[in-house]
Amino acid sequence: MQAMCPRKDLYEAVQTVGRAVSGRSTLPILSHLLVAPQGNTLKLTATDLEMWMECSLPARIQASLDDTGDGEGFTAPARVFTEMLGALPDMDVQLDRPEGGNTVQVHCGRSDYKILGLPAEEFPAPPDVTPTATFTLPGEVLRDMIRHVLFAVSTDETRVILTGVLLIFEGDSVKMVATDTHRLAVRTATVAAGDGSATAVVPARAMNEVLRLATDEDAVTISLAQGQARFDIGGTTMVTRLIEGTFPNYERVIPTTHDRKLTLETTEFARAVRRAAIVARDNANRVVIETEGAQLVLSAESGTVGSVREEIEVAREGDDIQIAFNAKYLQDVLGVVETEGVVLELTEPLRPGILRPIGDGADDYLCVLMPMQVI
Amino acid sequence: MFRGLSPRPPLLKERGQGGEALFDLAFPLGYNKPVTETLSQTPGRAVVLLDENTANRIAAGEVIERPSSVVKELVENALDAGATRVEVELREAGKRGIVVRDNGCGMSRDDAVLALQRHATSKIRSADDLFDIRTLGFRGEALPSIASVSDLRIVTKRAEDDAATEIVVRGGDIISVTETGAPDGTTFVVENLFFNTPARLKFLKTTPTELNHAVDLLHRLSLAYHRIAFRLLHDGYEMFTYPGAADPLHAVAAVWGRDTAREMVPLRYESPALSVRGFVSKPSVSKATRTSQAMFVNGRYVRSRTMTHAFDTAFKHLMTTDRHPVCALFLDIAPELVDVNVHPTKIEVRFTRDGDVYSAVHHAVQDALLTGGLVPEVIVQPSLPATNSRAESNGLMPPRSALSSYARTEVELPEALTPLAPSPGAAGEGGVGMSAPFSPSPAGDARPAAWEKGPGDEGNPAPPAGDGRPLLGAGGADTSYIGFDGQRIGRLRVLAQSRNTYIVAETDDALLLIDQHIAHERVLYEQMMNGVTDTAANWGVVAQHLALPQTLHLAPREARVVEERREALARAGFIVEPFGGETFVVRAVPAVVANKDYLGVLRGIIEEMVTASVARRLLVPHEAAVIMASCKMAVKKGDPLTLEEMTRLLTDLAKMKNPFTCPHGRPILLSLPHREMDRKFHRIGPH
Ligand SMILES: Nc1ncnc2c1ncn2[C@@H]1O[C@H](COP(=O)(O)OP(=O)(O)O)[C@@H](O)[C@H]1O
Ligand SMILES: [Mg+2]
Repeated sequence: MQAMCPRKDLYEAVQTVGRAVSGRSTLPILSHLLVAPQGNTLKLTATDLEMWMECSLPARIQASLDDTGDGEGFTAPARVFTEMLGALPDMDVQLDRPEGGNTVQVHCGRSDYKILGLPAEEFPAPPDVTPTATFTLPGEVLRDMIRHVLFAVSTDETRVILTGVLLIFEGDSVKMVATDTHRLAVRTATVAAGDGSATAVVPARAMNEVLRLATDEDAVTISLAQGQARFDIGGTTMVTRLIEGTFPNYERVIPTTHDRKLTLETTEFARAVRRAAIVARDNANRVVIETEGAQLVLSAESGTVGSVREEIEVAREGDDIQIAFNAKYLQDVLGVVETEGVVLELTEPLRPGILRPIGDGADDYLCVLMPMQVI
Repeated sequence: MFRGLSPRPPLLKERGQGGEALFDLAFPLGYNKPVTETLSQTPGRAVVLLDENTANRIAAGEVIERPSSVVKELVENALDAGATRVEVELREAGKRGIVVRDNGCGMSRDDAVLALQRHATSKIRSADDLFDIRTLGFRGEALPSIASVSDLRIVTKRAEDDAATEIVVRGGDIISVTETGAPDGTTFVVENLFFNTPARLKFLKTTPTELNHAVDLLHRLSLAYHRIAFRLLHDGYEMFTYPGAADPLHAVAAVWGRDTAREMVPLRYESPALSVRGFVSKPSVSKATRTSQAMFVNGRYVRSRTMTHAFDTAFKHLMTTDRHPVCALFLDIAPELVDVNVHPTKIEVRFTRDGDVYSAVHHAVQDALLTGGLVPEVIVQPSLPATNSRAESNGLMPPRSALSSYARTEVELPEALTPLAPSPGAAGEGGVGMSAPFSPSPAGDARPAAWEKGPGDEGNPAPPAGDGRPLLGAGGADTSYIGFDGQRIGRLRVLAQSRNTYIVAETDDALLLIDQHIAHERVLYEQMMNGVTDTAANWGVVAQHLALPQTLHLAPREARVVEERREALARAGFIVEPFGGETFVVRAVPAVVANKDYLGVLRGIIEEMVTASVARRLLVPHEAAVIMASCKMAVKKGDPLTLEEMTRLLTDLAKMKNPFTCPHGRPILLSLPHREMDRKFHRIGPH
């Protein structure tokens, strides 16, 4: 096999799939990339057995007579290969495997490398994805959805199911849910096209990769299957294992009524929280919010730093209230809401609150926040 | 002879009190020497031959040493009698009364009377049988022993008999034998235990301790006899109930809680001479003590060094800390290869082929760990930045320690770094291969190290910004921090982690060893105490309420403790509500651990409360719960930390009001001043 392509394209592709390379596996092959010719393209694959990333780029391919099988490629250690491509001059790179062995020759300008690989047939193939549901979303919408829920995913490895995002696809609507048991974010959208129905819990890491890979212009096709999901994003395909288990019944967590409703200007609220957080940081991030007529007072106290008091305007329905939240949780959700205003629906100081955007897409998003309490 | 083994020195005091009861003296002293000789030393009394009754009392002292021994003997008899349900009722942990009821084979009138004789047993016929014991009892000693020190009533009926027999015995004398009506099976009622052995009575443990013994006993028996139904009532309250089930895992759940049972993997090892079965917990579930490890030989609960050692070695590379996995391990071995007749309570056993047992247990555990997928991810040594940098910079794999939220990188610490409360023992352990031990200065000596520079040193003042090496991840945004209580702040660089236990760091003036667990404990403690000022009004732990309340299935004993101490738990930030039976709902957790394994932390606290409650029935006061919680939440000895995590920990430590000792008063750090180090290397002067 001999292949030729611009260094820059190959470097980009290698960096893209490199994200799936296993960082700490004991299996040597998992620290390698698989490079295989496929028609007029080179296909690059990397995996850590949780996630597979594939990316194709146009190349001039010449199969040599020595080649044992069709489409067979070579592997190269991801770190070295990436570093090498990063350092080579911006010219065409020629990949050559004259002996058909595990060594690949890289030729670029006046540089020649011989890189030792491993047998390509040992590289683990991605699992077959037989989708029970497939749907397509505009990149912009998908990214938006992921951003709206990803912050609420749990990082606690002892409750694995919560370290993923619950994806529910049914009819023409798709829903994403995440919770770390202290807060819960739910985002809904209408799909451009799709059929079937399924639920899946996608690891946060895979969601992060989708967020990074997809551009607003891409149309992303998502296929959900038993145990795996596939994301087709432009020329890149990502297959991820799903998290097995039962996601908690999140609907039960969402309060259906409220006695108090605070309407706030999003950026003003976010700024006040940020300022209060500077003090709250030293006291478990606790920020107290309290209504005083048409004002909302945010305050925080810390034995080591001091205290802070912030006032902003509020439109209130229902009685005055005082309730404490984790400043970080408020910041997280206020950081992703894009509407001018938000409402905070409350009942009592120790009951959950809901934050929702107002205006466009008001019904598409909510975030349940649990209060804090000083004991 | 084995009877010589039981030491009873405290009873010797009785002697001086003067001839109150003959057998009180004979009882403690009569083991090593001939009985008559002992008695002849008592002034003013005639030499008498001990009657059979007294001999029984002596024996009773060995088999029946506490109320729970009565329970043990009677329940074992019930099991030997083929019962499928056994009920135990205790009053004051058995001190006032013990009832054991079974539905076993019962006894004929003659057998029942005969069974009260010493060495009367239906289970062995000759001494040869001692080498082939298949029942729990065999000495024929229990009933006469119990009878001789209590008021005993036996009601027993065989299925083939029309009427039941009732026998009343007092202090070993049969008072009456009558016919009565009763269901099939046998009931023993023991009252006024030790009424005629005041010395024994006097040294009975507290009710909770005795009760714990009884609960432990039934726990073990239900593990071993999982098909049998057991019930334990204490002063009218149900302490334990287990309906019996074909699947032994049900017994595990009844004893240690459903959550633990879910984390158990089966063990299995067979060889021609022996087999090992049972369950062992994944390394994620472990306890501070061995109390949740039960080992059995042919259905009999035993303590065997061979088995424990084999078990521990198999686990050794998995558990870096000194914690113990939960296990129920059953060894079945040909009776002729094991000697249970070693100790009066039969708790110790001797194996003919020790090595075979060792390797069977070892293999069983090891295989379970491998095939059960239990081997955890390779424990990463303190990572060089390169090892993990990719994963971390991508935010892909958060480090798995309790410090995982730690990311910032500058550290500044007060310079007075000698520990305020030095502990002599700690100094020698801190070794990083240096012959000069780290020596904590006396408590009063908290002067900043820089002040101590004497004329013999190089004499140049400490360079203000270190030796030019960059601080870790030097971003340098946060370097203007001023210290506490007027102490000067020095820069601190983390160098490494030693034995996954100590952080090795240096300041401009000294090399430091910091105990990671204690340091973190201090940080959490102060964080939980709300960075409290001196005003008590400000006091409080911040709790984060849960959107998804978590359920906790506990073992019966744990549930009791949680029930009792909900208030103290709440003060530490854990709001827990009963949810029926042994199940609880966790509504809120301390904000400091909200993003960690808070259920694990809570379980740790509960476990500690359970053990504490055995020792002293004190309610955990307010602050003690916080101390306990911060200790449970802190990184452990043996947890590998990344440089970032260590740096972040020290950053936080530097902010503490007292960065030098833990809430219990142990020192957090030891310092070796550079001056001192240089002197030890004879590096004084301009080389
Ligand atoms: N619950 C019971 N049901 C039927 N028989 C019993 C029961 N308890 C004791 N026995 C009979 O009494 C005998 C003596 O019991 P014990 O003194 O405990 O000696 P051992 O158990 O060592 O034989 C037993 O061998 C058994 O035959
Ligand atoms: Mg017996």
